[in-house]
Amino acid sequence: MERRKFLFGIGTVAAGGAAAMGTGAFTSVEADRGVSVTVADDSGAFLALSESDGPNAAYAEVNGGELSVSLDAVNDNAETIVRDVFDITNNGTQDVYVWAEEPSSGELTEGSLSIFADATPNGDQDDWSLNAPAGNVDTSDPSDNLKLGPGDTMAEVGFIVRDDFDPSNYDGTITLVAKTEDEL
Amino acid sequence: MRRRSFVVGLGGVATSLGLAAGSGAFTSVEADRTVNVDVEEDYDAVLKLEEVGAGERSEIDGGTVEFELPGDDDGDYAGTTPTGLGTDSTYRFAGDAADSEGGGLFTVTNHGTQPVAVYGAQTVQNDVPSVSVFDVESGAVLTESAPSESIGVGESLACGLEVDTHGVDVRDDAYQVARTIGAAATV
Repeated sequence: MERRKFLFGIGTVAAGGAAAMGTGAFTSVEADRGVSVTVADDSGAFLALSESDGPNAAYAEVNGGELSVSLDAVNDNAETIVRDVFDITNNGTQDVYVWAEEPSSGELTEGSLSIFADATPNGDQDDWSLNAPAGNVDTSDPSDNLKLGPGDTMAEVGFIVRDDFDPSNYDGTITLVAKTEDEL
Repeated sequence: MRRRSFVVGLGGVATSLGLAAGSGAFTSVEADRTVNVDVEEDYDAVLKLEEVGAGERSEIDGGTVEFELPGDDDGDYAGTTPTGLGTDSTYRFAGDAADSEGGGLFTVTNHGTQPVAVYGAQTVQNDVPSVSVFDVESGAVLTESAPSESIGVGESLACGLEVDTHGVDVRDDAYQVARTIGAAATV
């Protein structure tokens, strides 16, 4: 790979007659630099997602290293709770806040599918909602239950499906977000 | 300091366009002129690129800045050992592994003579991670059509990398992506 490529504005200098190619003058410069990116299994990624060690891990599956959740045969007109499906671990080097973006449109109506954790890193809080509007998380929460330090795990993440949700029509994406406090 | 000099022949072509030519009338002229180009290490070049922070997500190799995600030493700081980025994700790296302040993965300093705007560009490739440059202070992704604010002579911009892995397969070997970092005069 060619790693040193400097494209000086030679044409510009010649045309303008401003042949000031002296110290440091430049009109434009482009430099190609190599970026090496490893794309890993969800279980080992910076934001790691792994199946729980409980029986409801059966609702999670891993295809090509990517974790997905299938809530099959959910009753219509019912509220179904499925606990302890997967875990979220911070493999980064900074504290992050983790949450699930509420779907803004599409097949899901607000509140029809909730995501929560039963074992938060601080205090093992039960039934702790991970839902938050896009880009909006309450960091003033004194228990900091959404905060994951390096190596911390938000464990036993589960789902609540409510009666106004028709899962037969839903094959979509839930966006999990992890951000440092600076990025909030 | 290692300096490499190249002498490049620059062919200039001027064609008469019905100009009233005096005694020096000519139809065309070709004149070869030489242009000297010094190629400098990144830290000494007109567009000065410097890696920031420990952890080797950014590092200097052979005089140029390069990036590796995760960094070679990513596991040395927080007891975590990430094996990579997850697929179908968008990651932002605002600092190296040892950096808790988000001070940038690299800085771009204008060592030229006029203000410039900084941007990133990548040849579109399917099935590989897409890498963008962003301004860590404003959060804005910098592109050729929407570059940074004007960076004055001697001023620096702290930058991070945004990596989009949507549709990119998990694999053991790292993806090698060429990322162009550019700057153009704003006047």
